[in-house]
Amino acid sequence: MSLLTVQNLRQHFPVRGGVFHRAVASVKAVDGVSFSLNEGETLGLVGESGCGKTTLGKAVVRLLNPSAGSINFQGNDITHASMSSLRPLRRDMQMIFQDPAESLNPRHTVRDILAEPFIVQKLGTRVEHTRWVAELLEKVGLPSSAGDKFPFEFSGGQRQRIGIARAIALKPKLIVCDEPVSALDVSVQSQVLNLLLDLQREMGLSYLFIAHGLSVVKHMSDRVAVMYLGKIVELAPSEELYHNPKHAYTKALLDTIPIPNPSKRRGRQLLQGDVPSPINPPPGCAFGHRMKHPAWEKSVGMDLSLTEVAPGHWVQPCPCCT
Amino acid sequence: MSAILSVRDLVTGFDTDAGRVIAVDRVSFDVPEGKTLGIVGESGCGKSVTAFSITRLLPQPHGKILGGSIMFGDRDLTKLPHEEMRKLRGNEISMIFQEPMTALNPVQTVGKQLAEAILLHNEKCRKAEVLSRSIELMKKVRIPAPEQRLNEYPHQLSGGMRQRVMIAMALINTPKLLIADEPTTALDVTVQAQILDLMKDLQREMGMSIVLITHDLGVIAETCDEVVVMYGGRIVERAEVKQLFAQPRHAYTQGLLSSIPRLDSTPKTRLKAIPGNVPSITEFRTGCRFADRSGREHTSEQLNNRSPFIEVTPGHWVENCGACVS
Ligand SMILES: Nc1ncnc2c1ncn2[C@@H]1O[C@H](COP(=O)(O)OP(=O)(O)OP(=O)(O)O)[C@@H](O)[C@H]1O
Ligand SMILES: Nc1ncnc2c1ncn2[C@@H]1O[C@H](COP(=O)(O)OP(=O)(O)OP(=O)(O)O)[C@@H](O)[C@H]1O
Ligand SMILES: [Mg+2]
Ligand SMILES: [Mg+2]
Repeated sequence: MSLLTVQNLRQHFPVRGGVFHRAVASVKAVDGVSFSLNEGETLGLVGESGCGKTTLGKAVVRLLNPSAGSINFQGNDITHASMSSLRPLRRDMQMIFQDPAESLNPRHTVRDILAEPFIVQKLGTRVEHTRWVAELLEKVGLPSSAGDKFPFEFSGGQRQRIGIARAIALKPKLIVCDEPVSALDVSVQSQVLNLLLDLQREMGLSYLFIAHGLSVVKHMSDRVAVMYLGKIVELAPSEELYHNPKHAYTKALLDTIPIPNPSKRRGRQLLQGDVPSPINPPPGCAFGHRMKHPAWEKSVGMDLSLTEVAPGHWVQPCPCCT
Repeated sequence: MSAILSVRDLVTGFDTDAGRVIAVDRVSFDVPEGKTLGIVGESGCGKSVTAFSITRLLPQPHGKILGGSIMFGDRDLTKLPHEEMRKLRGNEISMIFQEPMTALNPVQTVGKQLAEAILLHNEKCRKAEVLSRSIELMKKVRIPAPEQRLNEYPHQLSGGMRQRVMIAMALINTPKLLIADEPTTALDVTVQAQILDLMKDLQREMGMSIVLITHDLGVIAETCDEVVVMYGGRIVERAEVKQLFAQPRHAYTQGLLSSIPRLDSTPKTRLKAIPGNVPSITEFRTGCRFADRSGREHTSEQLNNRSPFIEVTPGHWVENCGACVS
């Protein structure tokens, strides 16, 4: 069953300027995105820096007020849910951030940090909090003595474990994982990825898993969505996307991944140009525009909603890239 | 194969409030002529300190080369007077840094900075010549519309463009050796691929040798000829790239290679993980530094005495800890 359904979601930010500080333009960070996420499933989200991954993640768990479109979570439309009606929802949706150091209050002990969600939700007694915190620490593989320490006393990997412990404290249904291992040492990344996989199995969690490295995303996800300049251009089961990419951008992205096997060096098709700005995105297919594809003009004015080309495999149907 | 740079038993330390710490602890390697040597390892293992030792740009007054030699031709860089070292840098040896934004001056145009760098080493260069050299360099690093870009400020360029400008500056005097410290870590995957390709092309055109520092094994596999694997301030393994990936001998190299998710692995299966954390410099052991994370029984001899760095097969070197090397 679908836990989360996002339809035509837009998240625009005003760009202010001039003497009156008026909105003179808008950043179309997320510009018409649709997908659904099932219970216990992981949907991966990849794309270049600035394409709107974090914004989409934040909008989904309603840390932002969406500009348009709809978000349906467990059968309820939460697109414009008010602050007060969001509080009970916070139990069920959580977010893990890229930089564990920044997302943990440095002046609070780990015990305080982990007990906070219970206090905010007015759950349990202090005695229960102590017990729950101990259980959380054990669950994420930290010693119980960790509770008395401060975040800076831990390594990056351990801090990310604390972030994960806080996210699972209220036994949520959905966690948005925003680049959860990018800031970690290589040898510690796999520990954290394993922890996320284990917790998902144990607790039946659903993940929206964001990263810009396709190999990590592919490994963690049942399905993967490829984002380009505020839009999803392709969405397919992990293996299918990797073996049978349809959109030119997905192919290009696959091509840029450095393969850790020196016997398999490839001559690659390199992307030209830089990631464009979402302030004035070109009309039609933005990637066809970047590649100066001769058929790009045909995409202008077309309906570019994703179409299903094989079971569960969705692609933006532009004449230039597919 | 002749080496353009030979590092032997290099020891580099810092004098801190808490006493002296040894960041690079007797490392030895060669940079083969016209080839790329990769230095791979995790945060704090001593990659940048190694690079700063070679270019003698260690933070002063705390950073010091405490032992060993760095032979560049017949000159030992550890003993070169400051003035000579300054001339060498930017001429025969150039360096590019991880964060291009901090290395460029934000209030000067790109053209002005390039011109200054050109004049620094060729004082007699005329104005028109400086301009044409600048344009030529910008073209060399494949920056479109170079005349126009020269008038822009660093913040007007994308991250990839800025890194290209840094590379252009490093190439001014056609260096024999280019040291690139994580040149693509701050960049997007697609831009990273462009920059790495550019470096390979330039190497082919100019025949320079490159030291490429990274923590990404994929980058190593795709761009390097030889690899040095560092852990806790030491080199644990060193080999030709295919050899290293096909037959890693040290437990750390093996662990690292098997812990990274690969595109051809089955989704959602547990990865092999190395337990524990990267050690910090204050808790380094005298003996095998990977012992606590290796999951292998170490003798007290192995824990307390450093094993010799030996050549196991021609060109393949390893710190021969009896527990970690089998
Ligand atoms: N609060 C905001 N106000 C204005 N613009 C914003 C805001 N947040 C994000 N943006 C812009 O929206 C676009 C998408 O940003 P976002 O952080 O979602 O990208 P991302 O895909 O997560 O990138 P990265 O991989 O670098 O984390 C960017 O152009 C960004 O500058
Ligand atoms: N100025 C300094 N004073 C004291 N210690 C230092 C100084 N600079 C570096 N160190 C120490 O030297 C060790 C090696 O640092 P180095 O910068 O070479 O690591 P690295 O391998 O480049 O790591 P990263 O991947 O994070 O860049 C670290 O433990 C660091 O704390
Ligand atoms: Mg982001
Ligand atoms: Mg470094």
